[in-house]
Amino acid sequence: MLPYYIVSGLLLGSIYGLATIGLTLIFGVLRVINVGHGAYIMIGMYVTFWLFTLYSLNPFVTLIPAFLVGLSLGMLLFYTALKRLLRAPELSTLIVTFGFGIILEESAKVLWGSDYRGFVYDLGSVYIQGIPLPLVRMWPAIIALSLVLALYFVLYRTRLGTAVRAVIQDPEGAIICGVNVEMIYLLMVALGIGLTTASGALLGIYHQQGINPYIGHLYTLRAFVIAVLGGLGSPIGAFIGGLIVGVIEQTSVPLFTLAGAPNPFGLSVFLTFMLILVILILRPQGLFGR
Amino acid sequence: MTLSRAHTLIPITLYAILLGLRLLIEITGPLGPITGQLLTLLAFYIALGQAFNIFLGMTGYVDFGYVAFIALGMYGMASGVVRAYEAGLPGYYGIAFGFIQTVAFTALLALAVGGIALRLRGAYFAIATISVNEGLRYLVEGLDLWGGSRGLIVSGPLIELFGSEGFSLLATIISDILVFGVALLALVVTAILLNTRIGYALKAIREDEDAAKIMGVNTTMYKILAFATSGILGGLLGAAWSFKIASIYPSDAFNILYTIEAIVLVMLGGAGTLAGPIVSGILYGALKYFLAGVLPGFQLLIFAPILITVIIAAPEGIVGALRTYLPTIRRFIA
Amino acid sequence: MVERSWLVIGGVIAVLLILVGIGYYVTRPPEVTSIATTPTPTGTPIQTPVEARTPTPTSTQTVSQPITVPDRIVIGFTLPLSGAFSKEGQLALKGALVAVKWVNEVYGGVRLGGKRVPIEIKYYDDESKRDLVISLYERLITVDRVHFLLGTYTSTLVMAAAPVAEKYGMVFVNWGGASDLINRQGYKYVVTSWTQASRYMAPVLDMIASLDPTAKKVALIWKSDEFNRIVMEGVRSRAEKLGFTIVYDKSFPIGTLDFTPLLVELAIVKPDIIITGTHFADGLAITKQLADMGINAKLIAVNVAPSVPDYYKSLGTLAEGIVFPSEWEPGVWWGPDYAKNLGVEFFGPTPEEFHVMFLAMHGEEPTEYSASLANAIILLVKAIEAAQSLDQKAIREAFSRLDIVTFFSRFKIDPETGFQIGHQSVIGQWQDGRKVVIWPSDVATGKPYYPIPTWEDKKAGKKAIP
Repeated sequence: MLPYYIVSGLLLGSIYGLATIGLTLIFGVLRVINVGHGAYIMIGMYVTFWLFTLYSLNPFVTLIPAFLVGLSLGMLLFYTALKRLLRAPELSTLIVTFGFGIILEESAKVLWGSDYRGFVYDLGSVYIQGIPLPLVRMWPAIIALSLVLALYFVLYRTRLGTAVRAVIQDPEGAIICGVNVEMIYLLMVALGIGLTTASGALLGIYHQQGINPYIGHLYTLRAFVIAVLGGLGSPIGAFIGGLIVGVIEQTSVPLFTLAGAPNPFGLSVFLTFMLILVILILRPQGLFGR
Repeated sequence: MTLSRAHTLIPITLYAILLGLRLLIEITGPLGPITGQLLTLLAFYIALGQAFNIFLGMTGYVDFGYVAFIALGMYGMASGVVRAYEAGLPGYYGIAFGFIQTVAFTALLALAVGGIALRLRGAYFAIATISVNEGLRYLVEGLDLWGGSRGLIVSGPLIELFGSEGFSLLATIISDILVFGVALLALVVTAILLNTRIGYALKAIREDEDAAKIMGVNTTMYKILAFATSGILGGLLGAAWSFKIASIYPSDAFNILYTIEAIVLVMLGGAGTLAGPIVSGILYGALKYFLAGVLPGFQLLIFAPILITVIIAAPEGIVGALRTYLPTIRRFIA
Repeated sequence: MVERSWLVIGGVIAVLLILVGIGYYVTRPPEVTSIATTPTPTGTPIQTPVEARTPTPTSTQTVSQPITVPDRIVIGFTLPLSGAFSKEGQLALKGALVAVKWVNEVYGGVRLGGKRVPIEIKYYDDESKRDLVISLYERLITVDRVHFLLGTYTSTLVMAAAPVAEKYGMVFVNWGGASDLINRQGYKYVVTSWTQASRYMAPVLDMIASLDPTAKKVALIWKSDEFNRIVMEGVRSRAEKLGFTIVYDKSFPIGTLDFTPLLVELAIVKPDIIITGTHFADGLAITKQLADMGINAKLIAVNVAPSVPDYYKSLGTLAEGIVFPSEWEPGVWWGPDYAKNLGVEFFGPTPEEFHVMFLAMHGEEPTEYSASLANAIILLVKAIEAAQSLDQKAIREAFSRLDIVTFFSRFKIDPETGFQIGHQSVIGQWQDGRKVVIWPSDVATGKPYYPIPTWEDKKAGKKAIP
């Protein structure tokens, strides 16, 4: 039974990781925590839902429109707000990104209603220890992993990637070296949000039910845990952190049940949050942070 | 800054007027569009803003988990009352015990969280505090504390302890008076802080914490002080409010909406000002009340852009902007 | 300076803790209970001392005094038209509109003081939020000055609204909150019109016992909210009485939509019967995930969700055979004949009338939510006519004395608590894309399909046609 949970955790965790990479990239470059993070995941889910339900588009294909939507939202976010707040106190950027998230959620509510949406897309299952594991849960993880590898390639093997890493390390030094820092900012915000919506699409394929405008909240909180665990600003950290948190999430419930807790589900979520606090005390820079 | 008498008397007079109106309405019924309910809401938001202002406004740190204090206040008071009821004691024991629990719980939480989180800066602090709030909520559910997700039902015990009439009084006018009381207490504390060294130190922390540290300011101590004060006041607000709710569930008590509203109230009014929360409390409360029937479901959609615009264009809030652009007001409004 | 301030803080904490400790000691439960405790099925024991209970207000009017008849009677309530319970709320509203139309156009208005008075509804969207419920009900009472109040949907929201009505001494017809606790708070004005949670799902066990005595292993998986918690308590006590074994009993917090860890455990247990405690959103999700995980059982009963037609729309053939409890289903014949057999009066539209009107007005089948809210309005009309008054106490009295059948089933309450004791809920099942009432047999519209098809069969398109 435990291997099933671990596999399940790794699958879900890789998608979480992809989602968090968006968050951590934006932080790394701009020192801004996008508190409205989950709302973009929600948008991604809705993109998949609508394109599948209305046009019978293969859910995996919807990844591309979802990414593009995220890209545009990211550019919007940057040009309207973040650009002006580059020198502002942290408080301002936290509240503004938060506000953006709320606008997205409320608009979704007005446009699409607060009904819980869902669809059915089945590709069959593989069996682990006799328990079926739907393939629609496996493919998103593989796609997430590929995207992360692609990102790694860009960040570490291209000139653009070097420029980005330079900005993360030392923005002023990067300017001196001739890097167009503002362009990098824009790119990273757009890319970060784009990856977030793309992961939202993947999560939509994974879960398929329960899509509603406020579904982002729990993902935001999870993303925070993962980002802190992995180290804010480190994409690798975000991904590995995602895997760890995914596994912990899936395995803690049965473990709590074994321990006889009255409400193992609730305790499992509690554990996730305590994890943040523990990390912040012991090693605030996370696993891979500087 | 030293506060003049006008600075403190004007807000207090305003409170007196609002409370007076509320008491009047209790006897006469609604006066035109002004109902007792509207004033209750205004009182709540003013109190919330004043309480949160002590921390967010004065230190510049965002406690995204602030609602945990309010929730603890609710649970503290409610569980105190229920426990007294089950022990067969008269109602006042319950309220007294509830009050003690509220203060104790919030103080402990403030110290525990403050100890861990206040060593962190900006974004990390925000994350840590969100985690506390959510963690506490799931802990309550996970360990079945205070009824866990079954909820804590106070209305039954309250009716049995105080009778139907007493319960009705408690849930309306008495609760409102208590809320005004919390608002007044928070106002007084803010005034004291602004007038003394502590306020000065907090301002230094807000402007440039590193410089303050170098200058010898014990930043940790002052931050914890502000955090605890703000938290305890939040808890008292929750306790006062708990009489109205009649049953408490973790998902409602720990609802992040309260935090959002607290942030809006402080930033809109003017972070760190004395009168700011009053202005924003009245504005926000009135808007929310009148919009509720007219445009249900649109409130947040309207407030969020307003908040963003305020932050970008006028980060010092309404009162702050007034003081900057209308220097004559500075003598009267702080 | 530093040390001293930490000392002060430490001192304050110590004092607080001591005070709390004293408080705990003072409020420790008494060793000998001097008050008679009625063991309630709830977690928090609410002791109801018999002496302290104030009797339900009785009407002081024995002679019908001439009353001022208004030009219309306004009935106020809130509904979750958005938020977690938006689906159920919207469906309920549709029923209300039909009821109003029937009362005003078909029935001709409420018979009051020699005149026929039309009714009007005034409602707000409480967005499934408890604090909104409270403030909106206050508004309905103090600002809009409605004549009468109906409840909102789902127990958690009703629990917030009831005290407000109670505070103002207004009758509160609870048509949408099924928690037994609502009527156990000592409220004097709350009247419940449908079957309470404790009796809601339990009949499924009675049905299984009659269909298949060998099916003994029951698995419970439920949301830990007010309503479902009590539903499960009812199921457990029924299971014990009928000799079932509960092999799995797990709850999940409100807001959960991914049940994987719980379902993996469930798969290993291999129960005969699976019963879920859910509402619409999670009922849908849990069904889908049960299918994903291939967890089969001889019978699967899902709470709330399947009675909504969208359930089948979202799940397709996966929904076949799923059993669900319902307060009411179209086609169930609670009609004048049924009333005659019982020897009580029938009032309101017949099930046929209601069905036809609903279809004409909304172009879809009515659900239990629509019917329940519509019924609440019908019952209120009847109570007004019986009392010939608009006085809240008189109406409450009238409800106490009322024993009638409407299209929704029988209405009879316990006069003191307002608990509903006359209503009969039903069990339904999705068969061939339609909902069929399969229990109780005297009002059933079809036979049960048992055991239900496996997920594999259903994915291949098999339908549950008995």
